[in-house]
Amino acid sequence: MRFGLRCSVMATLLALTPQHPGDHVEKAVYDFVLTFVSIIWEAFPFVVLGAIIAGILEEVVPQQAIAKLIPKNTLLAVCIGAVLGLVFPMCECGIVPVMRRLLRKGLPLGTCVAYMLAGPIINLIVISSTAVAFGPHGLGTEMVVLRVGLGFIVAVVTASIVQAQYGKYGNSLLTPLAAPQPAKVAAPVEVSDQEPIHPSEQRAGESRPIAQRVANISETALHDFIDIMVFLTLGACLAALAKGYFTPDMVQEISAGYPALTIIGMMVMAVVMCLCSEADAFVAASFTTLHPSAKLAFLVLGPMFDFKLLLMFTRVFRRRLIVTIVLSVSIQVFVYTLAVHYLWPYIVPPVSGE
Amino acid sequence: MGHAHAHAHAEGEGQANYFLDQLFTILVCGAVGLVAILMYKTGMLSRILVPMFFIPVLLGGVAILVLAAIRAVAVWQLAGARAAGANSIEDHTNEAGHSHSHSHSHGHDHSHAHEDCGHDHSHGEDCAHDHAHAHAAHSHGDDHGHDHGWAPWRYMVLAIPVFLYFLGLPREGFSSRPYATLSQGELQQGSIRKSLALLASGMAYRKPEPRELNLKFKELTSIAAVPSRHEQYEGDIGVLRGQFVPLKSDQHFTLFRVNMTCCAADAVFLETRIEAPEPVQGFSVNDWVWVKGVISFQKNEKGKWIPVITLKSNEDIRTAEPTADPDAF
Repeated sequence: MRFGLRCSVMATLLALTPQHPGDHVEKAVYDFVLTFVSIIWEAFPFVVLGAIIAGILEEVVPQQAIAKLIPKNTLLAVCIGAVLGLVFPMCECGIVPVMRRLLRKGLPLGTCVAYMLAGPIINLIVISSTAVAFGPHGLGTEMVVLRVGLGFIVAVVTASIVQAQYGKYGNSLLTPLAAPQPAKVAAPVEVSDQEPIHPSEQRAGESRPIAQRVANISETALHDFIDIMVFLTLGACLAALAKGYFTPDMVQEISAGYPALTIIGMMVMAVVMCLCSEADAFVAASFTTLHPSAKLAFLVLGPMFDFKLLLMFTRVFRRRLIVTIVLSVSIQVFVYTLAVHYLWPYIVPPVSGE
Repeated sequence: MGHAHAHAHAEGEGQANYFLDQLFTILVCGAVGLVAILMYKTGMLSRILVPMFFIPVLLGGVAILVLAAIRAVAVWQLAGARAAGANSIEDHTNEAGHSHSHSHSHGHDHSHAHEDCGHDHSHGEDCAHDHAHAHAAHSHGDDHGHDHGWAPWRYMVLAIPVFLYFLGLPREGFSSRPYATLSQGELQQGSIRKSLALLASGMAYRKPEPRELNLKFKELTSIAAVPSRHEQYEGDIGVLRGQFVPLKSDQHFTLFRVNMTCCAADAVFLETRIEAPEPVQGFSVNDWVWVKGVISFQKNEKGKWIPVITLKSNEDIRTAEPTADPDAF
């Protein structure tokens, strides 16, 4: 909450800063409102869906029931999490509340993080949109393979690090709302870091009238909807503000001739723009003068980490874990895409005349 | 006596906070759901989203409204049960004459309010469980407003999109926005390099047997981005629809279309340069027009390939019907 409030105060200060004198003020406000509102309403149905699924999971699925389906081998469990999006496709906005409930139900943290990071990339909708966006550029297959491949590697490596960290720090890495609950306890759960646990804990698996179940689902769903939408709104506000200050043209001008700078610039763009993973390939494809490696950085990082996701993460993870995830994802995306830049002539041999 | 009073006050305040929180949850969620439905009904969604999102937003709005209604009924019943419970305890106290029994059973003093208390009580009629939970919460400190307590800032944040809707914002989509307010660089102005297929005289190269192509805007700009594909289209006759933007030279103008994949945040301006043989008159900024001319490609000052259509005469420009679909011819 404190972080969210800090962000909103920062956003307000930025909004009040007269960076666009004269006629540009109208345009800046117009662009801000349009971008802000569009991000919120685009994500809205997915957050509702995620909240309803979260409510059903909480009410219906007994504790540890899902965890029993996951293999004991950590790496295998993480790899399964990374490809779970193929079976349960969710965009990055809807995936957070679902992931939080799965965590509470005892699914390993590494598996959940792998699903959260890779799910918005490794699903058939996003794979198709990437192919369609880059198809006319003659790079459909290459971009799909690289995006999915790098997304998988980044998610698996990050999730493995997170799982190892969990072994050391345990539930202190998670907010009480996300911390896995024991299968059955009589006494209330003590939480070390001064936050309450969710009311609906321990309800699943108990026998109760259908009306009571529906009421409980609505309680959890509305709770999660509010919890996520608030931070989505703050993230959309930050994104809409930052978008007015940071454009692809700026990236191009600043980084011309420096591939590392271009990649970093496009990574910043991904964080700033907060695009849906279904749409980002079309935007990336429109940056026709940029090297594919920079577009790849944009496409791999964006679904894993942006302003709105950062604020949503605060409802699931503690600061230590957020820092781990953000650093791991960012460093890996940078290193891998820089490697792709230098290996590009071998990946796609140049056509004479271009 | 003071002990009992302090505790009763704290618990009452916690309950009040709980019900206040639930009330605002229901109201704000209901308002957001209602606005989603209204945005669909009034067509406001078309300013910010592509049509494939209209139904999901409507369904999301209906779903959240239904959830809010269910929750409202549940909270109403809970409040009724609480009131009935409170009355029965009061009756019991009066009859038995031990007015401190409830407070003493907790065994400690809570002079502070705990916002989570009411929440615990929502579990149902299991009084023992509720009270035990409330005690655990007490032991944590007072940082409980985070999630289930009364945290008005969350509702204020969530109310922003609701207020924006009732203010009628955003009033227009990108395609209706006056060109004068478009960002610098959103549309490219000059050009520095022409493709090899253009003749030195400035006249567009025309194939011996040119095809006449009904061009989709997105398709043409995609082709421009891939130099190896230019040859396929250069010299053919293209027919294209877009919005008119004059350039410095009155014989040149730009046609643009806004390509939204999902929402306005991912909107990209697609552009095609039009070269006319005579000064172009009679069209205003953002007017929709058809053009018909010879296709070629040029590089602009930022090194980006853009499509160019060279008209045979100014009669090859005519007024067109607007469309929001970037894939439409």
